Amino acid sequence: MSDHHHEKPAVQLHDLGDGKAAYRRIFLVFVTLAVLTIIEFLVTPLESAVLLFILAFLKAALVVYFFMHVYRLWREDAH
Amino acid sequence: MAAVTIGHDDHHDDHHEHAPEIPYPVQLRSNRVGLWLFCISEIFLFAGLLAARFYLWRVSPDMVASHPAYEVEVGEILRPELSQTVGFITTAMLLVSSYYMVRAEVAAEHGHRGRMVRSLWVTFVLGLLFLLGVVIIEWGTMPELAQAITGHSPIRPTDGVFGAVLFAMTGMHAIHVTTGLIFILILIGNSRKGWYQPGRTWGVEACAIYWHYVDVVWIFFYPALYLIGTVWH
Amino acid sequence: MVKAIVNFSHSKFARSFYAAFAGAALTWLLLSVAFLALNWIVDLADIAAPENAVALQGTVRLILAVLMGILGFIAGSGVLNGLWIGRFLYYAGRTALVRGLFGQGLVFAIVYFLMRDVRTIPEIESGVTQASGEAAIVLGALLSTFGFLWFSGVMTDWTLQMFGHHTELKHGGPPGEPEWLRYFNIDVNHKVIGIQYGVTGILVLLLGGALAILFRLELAFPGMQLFSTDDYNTLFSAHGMIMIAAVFLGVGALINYLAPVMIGAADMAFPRLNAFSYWIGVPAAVMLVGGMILGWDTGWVGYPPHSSSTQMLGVVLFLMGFYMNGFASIASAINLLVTVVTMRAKGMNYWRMPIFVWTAIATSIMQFSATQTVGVALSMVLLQRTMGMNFFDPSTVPPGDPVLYQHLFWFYSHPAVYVWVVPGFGLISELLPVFARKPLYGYKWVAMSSIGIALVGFIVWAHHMFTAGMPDTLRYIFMVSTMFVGIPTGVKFFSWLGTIWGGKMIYPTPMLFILGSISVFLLGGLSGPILATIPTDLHLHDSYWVVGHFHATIFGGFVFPFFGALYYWYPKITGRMYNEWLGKLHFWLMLPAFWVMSIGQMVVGLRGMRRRIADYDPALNLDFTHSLITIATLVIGWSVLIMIYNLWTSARSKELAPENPWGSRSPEWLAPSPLPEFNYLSPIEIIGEPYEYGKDEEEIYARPIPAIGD
Ligand code: HEM
Ligand SMILES: [Cu+2]
Repeated sequence: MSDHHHEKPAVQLHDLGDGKAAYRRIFLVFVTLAVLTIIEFLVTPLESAVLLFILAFLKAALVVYFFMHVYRLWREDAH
Repeated sequence: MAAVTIGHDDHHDDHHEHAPEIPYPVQLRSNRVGLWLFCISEIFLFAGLLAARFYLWRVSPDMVASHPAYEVEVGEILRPELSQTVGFITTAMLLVSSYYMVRAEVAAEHGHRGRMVRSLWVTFVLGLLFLLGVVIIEWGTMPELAQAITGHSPIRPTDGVFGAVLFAMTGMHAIHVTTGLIFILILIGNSRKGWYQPGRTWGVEACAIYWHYVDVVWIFFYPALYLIGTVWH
Repeated sequence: MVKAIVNFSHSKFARSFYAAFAGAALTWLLLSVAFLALNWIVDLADIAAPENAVALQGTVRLILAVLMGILGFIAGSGVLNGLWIGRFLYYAGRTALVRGLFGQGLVFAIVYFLMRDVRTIPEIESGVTQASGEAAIVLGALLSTFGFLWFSGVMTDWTLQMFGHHTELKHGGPPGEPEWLRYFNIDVNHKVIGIQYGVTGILVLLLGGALAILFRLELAFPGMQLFSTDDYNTLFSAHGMIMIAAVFLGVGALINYLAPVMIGAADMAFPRLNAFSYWIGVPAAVMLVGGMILGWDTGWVGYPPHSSSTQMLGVVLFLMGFYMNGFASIASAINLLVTVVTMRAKGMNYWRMPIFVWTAIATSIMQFSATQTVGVALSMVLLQRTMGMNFFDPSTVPPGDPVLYQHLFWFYSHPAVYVWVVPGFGLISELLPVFARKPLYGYKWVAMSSIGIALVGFIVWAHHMFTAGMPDTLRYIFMVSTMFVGIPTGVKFFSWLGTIWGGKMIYPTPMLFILGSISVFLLGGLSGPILATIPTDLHLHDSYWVVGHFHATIFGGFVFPFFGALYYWYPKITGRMYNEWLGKLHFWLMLPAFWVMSIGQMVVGLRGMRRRIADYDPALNLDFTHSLITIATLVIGWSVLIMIYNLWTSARSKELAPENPWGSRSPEWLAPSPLPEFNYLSPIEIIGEPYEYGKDEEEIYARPIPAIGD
């Protein structure tokens, strides 16, 4: 939380454009997550803990990669 | 990589001199690595709770003997009777809030400040609804309301290992949701002072990562609490 | 608003007020301890005390405390600075320690009195916890931690940031005050924090040692001479936990002071978090001591069902104190890992770091992750006690299970025991090449063996539970996995031998301690696999053999190397040299005494002495060995006092230490001693290998980056 409002941007900004692609991407990921959640709910009668865990890991992976952009840890300037 | 740069004066005077300036990209990297390590650390917290859930919510030999009507085997996984509707709706709310959070972050990075603040508010409201859903309905803080919505009397923390583990898991998660909500309010407040301009959005990014992390935890808690195992009445 | 509060807390009035608090509280505390000791002696000597003695003592204590409070208020303005006591109170009112303790006491009192009669869960019938206001104690302890943190000022910057204020890191001591006052205040410099950790650690070590000596006196002879059994239980429980706290503090001291300098950084990555990690340990320590005062009888492991049902209330403060210490562990471990990743100097790649840094990494990997699971275990006991939530009581359907606690507890605590030794291993590997004037044998292997120990440490925890009623298959698995620890540990021993082999050894005090620690750790390491073998453990579990085992590992892995490090870096920290003769005396008293103590413990264990027990059957014929152990304990205690005398007096000597007394290649010796505020006068770069001792003198490891055009 060390943002100083009065200073100029400290990170080299790429041409970010209007962000249309970024907005679209996160929306698609969100829809996928929603679908996976509904699938989880629907497959419950199968009583398969393994299946439910696979779905959970899949959802978690999507969130970690696209929403939490874990790749920024190693690809630094990829905004 | 030179982490820091220090003044070159040979005759130094130890104290009250300027701290070596740490370049913002280095600090940003430190912040990111630190936050992620914190997330990894907390995996062990929630995994410990999940371990307790799968360790304790199981059929014991006694139960088979005393409940011949149930067709269960020793060691089979159980779950308490919880409202599927409530579980699904709260889960959905947290998921949508996560979407608005990432939307706020993208908006912050592109300098779309109005959209950023609006998205933060939506995230906040959905998170609050999730919290209220858990605290009021699932925990039965308002027993009549909970009964009316779920159709059965709410489970109590003193209800054996079901109550204990359920409250421990949802409680620990709720603490994290609450801190996340406070974090969001801080962002909204500080963004009014002009913080988080493009290129300086670490505050938003940190809050977003934290909020998604809380969502990821719920991604595992939801099936563990509501979907996996045989219902035990 | 927030700013106003901050400003008020630094106002003249607030300072006088804190000075008053310091005077009153300290008087109260000292008199309480004095009266406690007095009553104990009167009791032992069977002197008939006057009937109203206790009431009289209470009145005296109250009056004196009030008087000292008034004196403190006056002294807070500085008018009494001519007097010793006036100066003392004046400065006391200016320390974060006093402010924090006031905040902690205040918040605890408010919460406790508000909540005492509130029932947490209406349907709890069992009288114990509710009637005694136990839930109020737990909540009070929890919130009082925040009381400490806010009043002491550790959270000030963060709080201001939350409200949109811009804050800058403040370096250097408090303006207009003497330099030493830094050490009692919130300071973000890693060296100040390292020394805070170190001094606190030594003080806590002395406290824990004093407790040990007390109950060793009881054990010297069969029969009960000095204490009630409850007191005995409290003493050994407190000894264990307080010593563990001391070891963590010592590890914190080493890592904080050394790691950033060794990688050529000016400070840790998160200086404020660093201060936070240290200071949160203070309220935690207060809770542990509070638990000791209320009495607690579960030992440091706190197993249910005993911990979840004992009537000795101190147990909840112990659980809370343990829990809060966990925050410190996690925060400082994350800080260290980030520092190593992002703050290394130019050329300092991972394979060129001083080997101690590798052990700091391994330690932090264990600390930042596993600590969470013990938090889960501890909080479950607290929830079961105060909220009636059942995790461990098997009478419900489905049943609770106390073994769950043991799994969660040891998943942390086995890695934790490695946390206590791995930094010590790093010190051994760090110092041996210096004193043998030879390269460290197998650098990469040694570095990787630290990580190996950390990783294997995660999969061996259930070797503490062979008798707890686990499935047989699990017992075999954990027996085998435990044996794997021998591989990385063996790598370390080979490297040490290989380094010593054919070296030109010199033996100043630090080297003696390093060699002594190897011998002691060998004793501990060899007694371990015997415990990890199921059939032998079935006999040895819960016996004094285990006590001998872990004392040898902890002394060999931490205490001896730590003392060695104190002597070794003493000239770096203070710029002075310690007294070599006293240092050697310390060593030659402590090493043999320790061997007697540890082997003695193993011997009585083999002959049937149980652990955690106040008395033993005279027919076991253990008196002689037990008396011997007690004498050895006293010798160890005295030798440590010699060290403290040595370190204290040497710091005041006029003579300056040589710049690089040990001829070390490590980068910290490039900078002046004591280290300047930001370590290096100009940035350094790494251009060679770290441990090329006894070779070509030209092969430089680290040097200041040459100015452009050089
Ligand atoms: C050489 C490898 C080691 C092996 C194979 C080993 C094995 C064991 C085993 C099996 C026990 C359980 C004994 C029982 O309760 O019946 C034990 C206890 C203990 N060990 Fe080790 N150990 C090793 C190294 C260490 C190290 C390096 C430490 C570091 C300080 C340590 C500290 C302890 C402690 C504190 C206990 C007692 C815990 C308690 O019950 O309070 N051990 N060890
Ligand atoms: Cu162990």
